[in-house]
Amino acid sequence: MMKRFSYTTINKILLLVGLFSVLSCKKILDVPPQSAVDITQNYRDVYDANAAVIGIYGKLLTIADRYIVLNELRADLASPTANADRYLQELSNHNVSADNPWADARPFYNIILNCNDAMKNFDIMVQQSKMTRDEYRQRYADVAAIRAWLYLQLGIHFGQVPYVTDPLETTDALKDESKYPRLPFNDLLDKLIASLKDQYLDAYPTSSSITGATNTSLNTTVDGYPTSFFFINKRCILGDLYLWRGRYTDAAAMYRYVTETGYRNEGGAGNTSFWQYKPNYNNFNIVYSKAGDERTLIDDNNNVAGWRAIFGSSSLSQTDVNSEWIWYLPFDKNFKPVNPFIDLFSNQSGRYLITASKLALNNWNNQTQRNGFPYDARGRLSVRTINGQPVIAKQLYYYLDGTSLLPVNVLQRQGRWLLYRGATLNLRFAEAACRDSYVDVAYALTNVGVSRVFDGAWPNPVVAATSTAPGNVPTDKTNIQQTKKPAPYDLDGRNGDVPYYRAPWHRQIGSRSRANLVDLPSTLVTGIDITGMENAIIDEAGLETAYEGNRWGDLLRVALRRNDPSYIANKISDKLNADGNSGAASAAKSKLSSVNGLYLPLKF
Amino acid sequence: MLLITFGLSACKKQWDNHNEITDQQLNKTLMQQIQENANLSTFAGYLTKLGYDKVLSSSRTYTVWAPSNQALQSVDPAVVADTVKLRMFVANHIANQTFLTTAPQPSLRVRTLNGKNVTFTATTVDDVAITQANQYVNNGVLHIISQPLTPRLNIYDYIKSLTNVGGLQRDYLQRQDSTYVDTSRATVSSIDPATGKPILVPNTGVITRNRYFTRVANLSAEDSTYTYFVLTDAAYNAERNKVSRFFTTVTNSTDTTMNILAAYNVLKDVAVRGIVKQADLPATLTSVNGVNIPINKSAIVQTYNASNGIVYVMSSLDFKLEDKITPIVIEGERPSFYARTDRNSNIFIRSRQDPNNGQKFNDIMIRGADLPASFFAAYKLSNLYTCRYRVIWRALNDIAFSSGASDFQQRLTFGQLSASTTSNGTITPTPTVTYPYTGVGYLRYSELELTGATLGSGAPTPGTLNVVNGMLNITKYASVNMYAQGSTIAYSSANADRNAMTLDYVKLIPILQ
Repeated sequence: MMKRFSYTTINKILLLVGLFSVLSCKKILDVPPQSAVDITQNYRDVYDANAAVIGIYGKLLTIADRYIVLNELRADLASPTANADRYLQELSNHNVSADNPWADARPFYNIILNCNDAMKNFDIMVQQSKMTRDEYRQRYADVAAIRAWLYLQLGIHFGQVPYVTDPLETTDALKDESKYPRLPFNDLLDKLIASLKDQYLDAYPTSSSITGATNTSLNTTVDGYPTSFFFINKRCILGDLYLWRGRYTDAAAMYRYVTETGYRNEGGAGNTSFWQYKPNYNNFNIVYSKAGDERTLIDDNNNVAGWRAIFGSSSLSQTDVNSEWIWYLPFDKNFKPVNPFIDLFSNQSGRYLITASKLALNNWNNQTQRNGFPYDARGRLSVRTINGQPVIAKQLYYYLDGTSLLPVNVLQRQGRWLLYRGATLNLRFAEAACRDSYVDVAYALTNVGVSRVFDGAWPNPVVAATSTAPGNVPTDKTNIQQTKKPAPYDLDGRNGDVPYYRAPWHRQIGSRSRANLVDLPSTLVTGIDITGMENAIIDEAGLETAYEGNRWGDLLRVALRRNDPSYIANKISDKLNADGNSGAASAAKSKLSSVNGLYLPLKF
Repeated sequence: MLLITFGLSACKKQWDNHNEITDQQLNKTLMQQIQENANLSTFAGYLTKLGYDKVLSSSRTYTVWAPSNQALQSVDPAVVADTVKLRMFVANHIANQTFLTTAPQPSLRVRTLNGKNVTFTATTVDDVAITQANQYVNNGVLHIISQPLTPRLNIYDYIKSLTNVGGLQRDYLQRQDSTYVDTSRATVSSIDPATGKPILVPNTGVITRNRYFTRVANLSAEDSTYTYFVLTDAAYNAERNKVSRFFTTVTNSTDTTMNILAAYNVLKDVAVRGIVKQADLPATLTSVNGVNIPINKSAIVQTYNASNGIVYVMSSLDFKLEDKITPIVIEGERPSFYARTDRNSNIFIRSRQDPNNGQKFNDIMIRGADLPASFFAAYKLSNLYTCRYRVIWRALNDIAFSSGASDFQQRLTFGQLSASTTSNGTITPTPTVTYPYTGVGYLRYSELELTGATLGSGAPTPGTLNVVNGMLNITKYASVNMYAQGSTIAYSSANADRNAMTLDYVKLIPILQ
């Protein structure tokens, strides 16, 4: 009896002790974890701020596939293959159902919320003097630009979206429309322009000799990649925002500034002065090593004379490549995330979900080269026939063997996401000039170059001087080969020997001439045909920058500007008809005939 | 605890019921279903005799088309007596997997267990009516039919069985059979210690291959279907005689090669893909080689429904000569060799578009600095018919000469294969047939017929080619060289491109009469 009592008592006492000890544990358990960083420890110094910036770009990589799929498959140059699932088919046919995972704004908003969090904390840091004013301005502007870029994508695909600048925990709060009203696209653009236009717009300054752990600069080299290419060009995105908003002169000022980066840095001292960010006759041409012989097209990953090197170049040290690339993010074979483009495009160890539309192939085949070849060779480099199937190759060159087009190693899926390059910039500049009624400048930018259009002889062909008669272009170039327009259209392409001039634009020839295509009709200029020139610019953008994620935006911008959804509707129905999908073509045409039909349904 | 046990035991019945088979039909196997039907007892007896009863009782699924006892009375007793033949016969009624009569849309080719295919429709199998359809059991489905499904010969077996008609065509096809030893399938008896190579057991790994099957149509394959025409000996001789003169290889002696070539020329176009029934035969069909076959239904001597198609024995198949002896087109951009091997810088393979009709084409242009005079691109032409030819070229000159010259001249010559000689790196052809130099008009996209050929002095005799009435004449079915040659003007800066040569294609049109 005694024994039994004692056991029960002991049990009870133990239980009580246990209870109390749990209660008193509360504080004891609240120790900071040793293997994870607490939220309050996130932003202590400039290195933390750098980590936040790099982290945001890292997250941006996760929407690379979404960016390409939405912008290309919804537009007129890409089509789903037989392997594509219902959701990809829906994007192409413009009958997107509510459960379509591609029509989801949350991946964009997740990164936007990260940006908001970083920007809030940068504010706190600079107040607490945890980083310098300059460091703050550079990083804050960079994140703001990324956020503006994300919002622009949201506006392009969803039309009216909530504009959030608070660091929310999750996207669930966005479901409440009364708290986060959906802004019309133009209002959104105004907010984005306001958020960016007074910011620090230059690139991160290059670090001095300090490298490694003590280097506070973001402009460095990481894992063999120069980080300078990772960061968005703020003037390009600001120019794009102006262009979307219809502020063409502001847009052109931005584009022109970026285009003359090389000349500003070198002052005419080196090639970069004349090459950088301007399609020119030195690099990336459609060129035949024996002119006029079809077999000798330069079709090589690393020969910068040929157009394919824009996409295939494996060496990052080439100054020539740097004159075309403005913004790219790498997919490394050793790091996550895995390159999504191989899965989307490749029929060799990829799922081959998306390929070129027949319309796109027809567009290339309807061009004529200067040597009489009846097609645009860029089409044959953008879309390769591999194992009998048309394969979008731009994103695959870095993964495939340069000549056999077989994967070098199916498990090494390196690649890059090229977001902005010289030709993109050049055509956007042309679009702004065109809408500002400078059709001749737009023509020069797209087509044959400033120094040719303004040489006094154009549109007559150049007649060379002979021993008895002078040519029709004077040898004194002092007063020709320049636009003589008000800024920002005062472009100087002089290339004279007596007196000697080498002006910033003298090698610029436009992406059409770079592709060896015959000139656009000069009547576009003589007739001041703004609509015709704009059509030609967008068509050229399709030939030059297909499958780089620009197409839907290019088409939508023009359709909104003209208040004419049929501009898109006709192109999409042409694509579906050419692919033999006439049922979907007529359905898509009627859906896209209203502005609301151009957007995806927004849900959270 | 007791309560729970009671509760569980009470549940037991309902638990069993939840997946119990309610359709009693699914408790039976195909064999049981057949045995239950007294009207199928003969067929059931055959199945048991051959061991198929175990197959049809297994858990794999089958479709059985079972003939009734009455239907099996018509079967040849010799088949029943011979186990091999009986197995072939019975297996023709069984197929893997379940095929209900709803499956054919409108018809299906179903492979039976003997490797032959039967045609299954909603109401028939190989044209035999299904009297009771879709009796499903747990391992398949049974259809009862009113006639037996006698295994049919395939087209080749049928042709081999022909005795009193079509003997020449039968012999031709059988002559195309050849055998070779596939070492990977042969039995190795030992390894030769001296060479390390395997020594094979004789007569193992012998594979039979028919050349006609690989070049025209595989008449013994069960899975591809053809409509095939067999010519009676008279029709065969008539058709062969029509074309044989185009295959002459010798003069003044028996020409066996000609007969072989002419026979192939006739018989390459007697197979048509798919089955075309007699009632559906149109006036012309297209052969597997793309040639029109004119069909006169009244010339059908006999018809056989083979397991892989349908055979018509024809007393006449009157091919048009122009469908059989067709023009030869030589693409300019694919030469065999050039006058010299060091002038790549002058050779351009181009892509062009005809502005008149938008058609794109590839061509060759030879031009430019330091191009030697009389430079040529040569083309080896094989299998030229023995006849005269009209010679036509299409050559696009898009060189805009500034002044003086208006265009350039080029010519075509033809010579024996062996007649080229090389000196100092330049091949000098000895053309036997020479067409005169002809101006290539600026931006002329249309064809141009060449005339006035002359015979070269160094023509060997007996040659394979000569000139008749200013035309190329091939005297033996043979291969010759064609040379597309630029002008004799030597390159100079004043005469730039005056010795250019360009060619889209050359067409040799046989003269048939």
